[in-house]
Amino acid sequence: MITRRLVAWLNLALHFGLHVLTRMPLRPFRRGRDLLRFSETVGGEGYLPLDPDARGAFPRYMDCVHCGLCAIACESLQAEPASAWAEPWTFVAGASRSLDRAQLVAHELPACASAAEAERVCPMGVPINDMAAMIRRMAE
Amino acid sequence: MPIRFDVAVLGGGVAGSAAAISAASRGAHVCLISGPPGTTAMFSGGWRGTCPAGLLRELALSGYELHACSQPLPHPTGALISCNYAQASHEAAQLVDGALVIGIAGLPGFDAPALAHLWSARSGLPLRGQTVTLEHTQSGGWAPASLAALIERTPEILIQPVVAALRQHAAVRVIMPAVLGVLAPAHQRVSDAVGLPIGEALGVPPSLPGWRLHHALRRVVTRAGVTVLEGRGIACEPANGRIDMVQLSNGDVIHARTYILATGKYAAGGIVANGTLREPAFDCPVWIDHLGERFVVADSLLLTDPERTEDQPLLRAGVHVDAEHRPVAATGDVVYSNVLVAGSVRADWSIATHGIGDAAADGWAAGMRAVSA
Repeated sequence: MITRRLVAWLNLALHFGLHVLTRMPLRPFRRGRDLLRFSETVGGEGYLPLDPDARGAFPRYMDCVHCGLCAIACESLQAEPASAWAEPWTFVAGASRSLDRAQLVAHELPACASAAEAERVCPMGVPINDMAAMIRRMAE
Repeated sequence: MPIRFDVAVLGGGVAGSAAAISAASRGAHVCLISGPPGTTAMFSGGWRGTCPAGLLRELALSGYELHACSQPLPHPTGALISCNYAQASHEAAQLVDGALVIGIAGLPGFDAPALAHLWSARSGLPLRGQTVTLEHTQSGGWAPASLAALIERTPEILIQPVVAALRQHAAVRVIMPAVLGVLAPAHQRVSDAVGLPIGEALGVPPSLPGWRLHHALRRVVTRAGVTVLEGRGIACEPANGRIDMVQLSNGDVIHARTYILATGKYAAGGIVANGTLREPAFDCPVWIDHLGERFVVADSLLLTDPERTEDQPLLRAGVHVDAEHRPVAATGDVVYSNVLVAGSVRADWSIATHGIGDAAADGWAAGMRAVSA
């Protein structure tokens, strides 16, 4: 058991050493490519780069406390059967922790995402309408 | 243009609403300054603490009847919660031998078989659980408000699946999630059709029971002749130890003889913790006495208990008051002689120590005091 663990540690150390010796000296020449590779990797999962305005507004999006009042207040949700994905707080909560659901929810952003009522009842003052607009932009 | 009132209540939750109703019922010209809904609208449906008789009566007249609870009520976390009052739909969910817990496929947070097991273990009563599938079930799962509206409009969609479940499991009572209606639970119509009591377990946010209470309070406030102003108090003008006027976020300026601060704590914006602890409407001193020290700076490490289920010191922060509910500074001096503080914005007041009924009683008493002041 101890031997196997030791081999694993040595293997890890070897590859870390190779990484430092071979990749790090080239880093200044590869910045654009590394960023592109990173964006391609995480972009597929919905993590998209934010423009400066969205980055500035993001702290307010993160104020969501998951109370769900925006969904209860949304009259269009009550008019006909609707799924949990049509609730405003689904994308508010999603984007407040990560952006992985942005593309998914953008496909069926609910009518109440741009209704004043959902935003008006938010106890934390999350700008739900702005957030919906950001998600639409990201999905385009 | 400034607007004048006898009493201005800041905060539209249960404490503020009770204060406004209490003062208005004694003939005062009252306004209620209310921001977005706060924790009252996240209420589980289980009323802990007393309820002033006047408020109980007014709520009943507005169509929101509270009944005394003799047993703990089931909560979707698996706990059984002791309550003093609840609406009839929750009262019908009291656990009995032979009750059947029915969940709805696609509705998150209510796993009926698991909850039957947990509630059974806690109560010692044999319970069974089953999940039923309703017509129109959404592929992405139900939005609780959408499902509740559908059941309120057409309770028939629930009746057939419940009857089918009862054919498999004979039961004397059915306990369901708190989605049997948005503002008016259809539990009685479903009970009559099925021939058994159908009850709603308590709710968790997004909580329809909380939404029902929020609307019921607003109906009572309006009936009482209280002027409701939307906004928050963002600035005030103190002079000679009194508040002369308060400016609202919507631009209105309010003058009142007495102000009642019932703005709640963090979720409602009554206390803002952003480096320091602050009460934004009147800038009343805020602190926590903990570990023998007084904190005005929210040190997250010192003010949180590593045991998450314990009462958290940070949640006890708030405005300290004297015997007459006026805000006091750390020296013990009254800060404003015409301000009364009620409900969870008060220090040493947390969900672990006080129930919603305590907030209502505190607000009611503040309303009475404001008129007699």
